[in-house]
Amino acid sequence: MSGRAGPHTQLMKDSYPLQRSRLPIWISALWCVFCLAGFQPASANLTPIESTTTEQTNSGQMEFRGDGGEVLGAPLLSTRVQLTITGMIATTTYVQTFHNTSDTWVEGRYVFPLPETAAVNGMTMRIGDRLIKGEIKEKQAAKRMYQQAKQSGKRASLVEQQRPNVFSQTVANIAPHEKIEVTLSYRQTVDFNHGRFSLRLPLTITPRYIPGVVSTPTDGAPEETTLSLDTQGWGWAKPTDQVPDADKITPPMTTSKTTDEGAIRNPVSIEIDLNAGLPLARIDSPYHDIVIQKNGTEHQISLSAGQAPMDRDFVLAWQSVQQKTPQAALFTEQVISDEGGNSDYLLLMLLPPQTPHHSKSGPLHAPEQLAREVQFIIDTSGSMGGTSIEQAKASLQLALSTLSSQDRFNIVEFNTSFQHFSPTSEPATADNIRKAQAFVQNLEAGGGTEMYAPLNAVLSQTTDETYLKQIVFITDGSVGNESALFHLIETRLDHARLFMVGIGSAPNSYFMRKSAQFGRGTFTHIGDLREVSEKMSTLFEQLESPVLRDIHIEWPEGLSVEAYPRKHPDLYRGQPLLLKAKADTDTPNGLQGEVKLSGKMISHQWSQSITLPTKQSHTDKRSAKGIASLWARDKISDLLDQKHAGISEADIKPQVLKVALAHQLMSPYTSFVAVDQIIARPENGTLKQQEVPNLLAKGQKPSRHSLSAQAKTKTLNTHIQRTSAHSYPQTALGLNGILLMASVCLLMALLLLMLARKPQPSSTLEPCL
Amino acid sequence: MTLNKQVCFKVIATLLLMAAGSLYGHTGYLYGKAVLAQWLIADAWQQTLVQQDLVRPWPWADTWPVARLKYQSDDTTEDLYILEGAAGNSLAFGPGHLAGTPLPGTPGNSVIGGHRDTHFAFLEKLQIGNQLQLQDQRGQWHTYEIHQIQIQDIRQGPLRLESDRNALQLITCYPFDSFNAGGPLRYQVSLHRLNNSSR
Repeated sequence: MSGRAGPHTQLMKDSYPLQRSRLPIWISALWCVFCLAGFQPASANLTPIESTTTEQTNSGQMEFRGDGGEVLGAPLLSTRVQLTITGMIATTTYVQTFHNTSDTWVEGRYVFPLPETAAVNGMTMRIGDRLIKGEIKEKQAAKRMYQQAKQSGKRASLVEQQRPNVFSQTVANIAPHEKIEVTLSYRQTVDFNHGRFSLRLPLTITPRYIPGVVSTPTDGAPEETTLSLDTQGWGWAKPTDQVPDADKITPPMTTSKTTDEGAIRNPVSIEIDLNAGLPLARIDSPYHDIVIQKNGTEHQISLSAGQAPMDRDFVLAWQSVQQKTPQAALFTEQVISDEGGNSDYLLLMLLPPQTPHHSKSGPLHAPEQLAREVQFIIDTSGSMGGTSIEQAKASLQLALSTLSSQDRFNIVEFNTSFQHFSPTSEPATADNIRKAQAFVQNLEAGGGTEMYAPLNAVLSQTTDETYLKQIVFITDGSVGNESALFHLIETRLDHARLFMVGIGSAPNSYFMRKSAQFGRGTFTHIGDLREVSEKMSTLFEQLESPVLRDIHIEWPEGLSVEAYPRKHPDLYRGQPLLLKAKADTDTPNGLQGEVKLSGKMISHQWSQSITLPTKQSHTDKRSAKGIASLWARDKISDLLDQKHAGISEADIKPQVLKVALAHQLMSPYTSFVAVDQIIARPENGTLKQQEVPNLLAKGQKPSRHSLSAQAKTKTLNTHIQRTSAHSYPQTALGLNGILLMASVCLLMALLLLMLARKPQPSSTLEPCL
Repeated sequence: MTLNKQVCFKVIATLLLMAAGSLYGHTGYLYGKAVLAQWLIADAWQQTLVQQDLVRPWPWADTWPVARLKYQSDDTTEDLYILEGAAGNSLAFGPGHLAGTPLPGTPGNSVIGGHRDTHFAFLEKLQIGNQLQLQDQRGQWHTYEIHQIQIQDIRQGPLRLESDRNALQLITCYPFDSFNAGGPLRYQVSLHRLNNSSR
């Protein structure tokens, strides 16, 4: 027995090293089998339900021209922006230079963004030494003038407003190797929020999602073949039933920031004269490097690199020395009208006193403060991909963590379809917050931006009246159907308040600002992960409650005043009351008297008076240019807003035209056109149409699901009347696969066991040898 | 040397057996979950009908029944409770209503997704002209008839739905006996509502 046992143990020992070296391999191999078989179905279920993730960009409409290559002979463009900021008013000269580098005559088109509040009131075209002043015309008339000039071979330029923040520039008959310069001028008021002044200059357009079904030309009327006569067919999207002008707001995009020579493609240079009228504590530009030259209270600011690619919005922010933050400011401009009458235009800014619990001593709950029900809506569409979704998620996580235990909340995420975190609002218990945070953590961006359905779902949800209903909407707003959404907010808001959080390098500010206006809340821009905590905590303060409600303004007697906004919104912490008014005076005393402002603060009634300057004081430095344009711009905006309250466009249009033409302003119904009188292009010379692309916003991914899907569905579904798009569910566990794997394992195990058995006799002999 | 091999084989065989066991276990677990959950959901559905309110089948559930679907033929009877949401969390327990489409039984075109290897395995047997019964949240029963069966490729674009009719789409993965869970094909059964309904 011992003779047998000895060698046996010997052998066992010998075999150990062998086993040791092989075992890990086998274990890891088995582990792989495990992972593949057992866990694959689970992970497959977790992948975002994305239907058309194929990276095909072969759909003709998507003009992602130039993967580092030249954009098919498009004219080169450079933009020069000169900003002069005086007090609360910024005047901008926006110069676009089109350079035709080809050997043919070119018509160039460029769709570009401007600030959503810009009052565009001037345009000139420069060809060599000649300067041609643009005229404001009714949209159709301007288009006709442009088309005629184009056909007769004259150089011409047409600027149209497609959205309050999206404009298009077309320049006809640019000679080979010629440069044509078009200058726009506009004014805007500076934003003032939480003691911080800021100005945003949008520089690129995040591609908009175009919901709806492609509208087909009406029967019988063959589509006009005079493409060259119309500006249609430029964009990557076709008009749909929901966005009838989709082709005009979807410029081609490019990802290449530089030309073949290494220079910046379509660069921008920015020069700013900042005359804040106050000693400043800080000037900064969060997304660009700048150089600041100080000259007394004036500052000259420019890009430190001189030029920058137009791939993100430019923001300038400044803060005055703490004690000097103005509590009230009044600017006036006197305009003598053609009839000889005087009109005074006023810009009034007033910062209501902030309630005491602003002190950092800790959260102070006013006794009447209601518990809140906060509905978070987060945009997880394709355009939010890249850095935007990270910013959005971080913002939402932070917002969740600040809910107090008596609050209730829910989350809705949407792309092509939408999904609730929970069927009803949940109390903000630690447990629910944890679950919600996990829900948010798993969100991924992809798919379309079907914003209407989720917004409608949230707005129509009834809430217990004892709760203050607030909606926090986190999005980049890159949709083309803004108007329908505003109508929805306007009609369904009820007691809720909508707070917009704009995400990304180039959000749709028009959508943010207007949604907040109709939603009676505020809007916040977040362009960088670093800004999340600061900007969101500002928002949380605002969410607590409005500082001032039911604002009433009483003008002195004898003045006929037309002031905008007509119905003043609630003011939240840090927001000023901003009023633009036109006052007609017949009395020789002119503008004088006291403006009485009153409103409700949390615990008491508030009122304040401001003394208007007398006629003599007009010469003081408080008078400022441009208030009339800004007032007219607000009036147009107010008129257009009535559309969402159900007033027909036919009633609104003549009123808008009257204001726009009188004040030389661009509007949806008025365009600037400039025509050179010299016939430049010979009759036999052909004209090629070229579109200048926009640069894809920083942090965004070029392979955009929403775009490629959009382009595809357009061609596929032209015949279907009304359809909606949905992602397919993931509908397999893969039980077959797992069973197969299990059976294979079992078979192999049995086989091995049989093999292990067979050599039994020989092994008993071995020790004897 | 052979003894060596023998031991080695035995170890591997044991490991393989363990793997097979746990894989069978996993299958059983998934399958059991799918079957057992429907029992719990059945109660929740009864309560939903009585209370006319959302009822969760178990306290921590992130989904709830929204409809009941019945199919009867000579050799099969299917009685399924449709849950809210067509993502993995609810599909494990029952077919799910795709968020963003109208609720089953309400006007419009609603979509229900289900796993091809559990609840919706029976779709394979369905023929054009077959009828299914659906009970909505008010307890109303509706009859739907199959008028089309298609195989869709999700790479061809999203699911497009006509929205102005009383229709129902049942969707599951295709092919039914595929070993791979994440394939691109979907089996789409389109039904429209017949004009009789009863309590």
